[in-house]
Amino acid sequence: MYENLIKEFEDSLNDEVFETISFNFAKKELEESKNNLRFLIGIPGTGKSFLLTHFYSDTTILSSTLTKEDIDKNLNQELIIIDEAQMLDNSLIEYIRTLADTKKYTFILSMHLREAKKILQKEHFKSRSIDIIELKPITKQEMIQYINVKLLKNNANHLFSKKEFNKIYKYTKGNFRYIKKFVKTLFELLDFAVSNNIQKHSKINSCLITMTAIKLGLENE
Amino acid sequence: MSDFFELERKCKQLKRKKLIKYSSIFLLFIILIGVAIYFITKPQPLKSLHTTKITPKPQPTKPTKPKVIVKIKEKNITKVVVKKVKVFIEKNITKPTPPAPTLSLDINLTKIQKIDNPKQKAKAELKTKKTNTQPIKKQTSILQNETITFNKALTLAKKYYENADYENSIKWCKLASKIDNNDERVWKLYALNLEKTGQKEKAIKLLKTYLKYKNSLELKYLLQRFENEKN
Repeated sequence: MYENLIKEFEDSLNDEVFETISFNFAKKELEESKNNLRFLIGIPGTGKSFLLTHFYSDTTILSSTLTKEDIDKNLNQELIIIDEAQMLDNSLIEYIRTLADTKKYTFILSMHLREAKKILQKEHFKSRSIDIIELKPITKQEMIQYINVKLLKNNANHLFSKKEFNKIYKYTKGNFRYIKKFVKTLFELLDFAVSNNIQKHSKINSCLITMTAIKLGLENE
Repeated sequence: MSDFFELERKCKQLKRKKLIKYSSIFLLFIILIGVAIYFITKPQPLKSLHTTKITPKPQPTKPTKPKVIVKIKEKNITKVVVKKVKVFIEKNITKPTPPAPTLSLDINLTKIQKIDNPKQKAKAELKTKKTNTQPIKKQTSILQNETITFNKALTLAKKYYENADYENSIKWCKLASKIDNNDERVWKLYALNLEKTGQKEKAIKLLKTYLKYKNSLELKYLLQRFENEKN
């Protein structure tokens, strides 16, 4: 019964772009920056990888497991994007920095907020002008809007009340990935309850939301 | 979704835990409010109803040596007087008049005090009233319900003496001496009574005993007169 909705909230990089304020701001900053070394930072699940894949679809995005040679291979292009850059070695980061200093190449390094802070505190980054673009978690209103848009697509609006939206936001804390995962799991549980004729949970209620949170490890038992 | 029921059970458990937590907080809050209201609205007892213990401030003792010496002397006097008077009464006074109450001199001299203060005097009178009510009642059928004061006893003793009822006068003298044995008027009247009843020697001894520790010009003259008359 809710299979379509389950599919709708599946986490995928090929998803449609849902432009939030933070998302648009980060996109604009990335485009307008004239610095050769740009850092896209944010807590996991805020949509860094999603932003990069959607707006730099014509550019190869290198993964964290790359080596010096992999960078050298891509030196034919001006813009080099590296996702999950917090995993890179210090020597590799130093190499990227020296390449960026030549002004021939532009690097966009996407990394987690916590690790980025540590890396950026190093001497060679402190002394240089670098652009740090932070992608922030979405707001509650944006989350409600996002879910409602998805529900409307499947003619299933008014499934959530304001109280339930508040509860979902409390658990997910505006993390885009968590929101998708949460709503998907919630519909899975609802689908099970409806298909097994469990009258108590035939509609979305606070217990179903708590059950989802327990299942995803967002609520301590 | 095999874990649906397990999740449901956990959800219920969690809800129960939360309910207990919040209800206990609420209960605690209510108790606190109750306690606060109780202390705010608690009627405070009137100050007059309070039985406050007023501890008397220790009066600074003047460490002047002469005063201490006087006190010591007085204490010594009391001890010696008590002994002497006891012996004297036992030997001379109490024996001839067995029905009469024992002279209170021997009792009250143990607590010899200068009862110049009228308040102290009243206290002493009350004490004697409590301790010696029975003998007084036996003696004075007329004044059974009246409070015997030193002055009353002395005036009665005087009146009996004026009416030449020396035995009764002696009784009232003894009674008055129980209330205040420092008053020389009692001693004088007692000595005069003894003289009248022909016990001049006893009277001389009595006066001598008193004059040994206390100064009284009147009693000195009386003693001189007795001794002169004897000679």
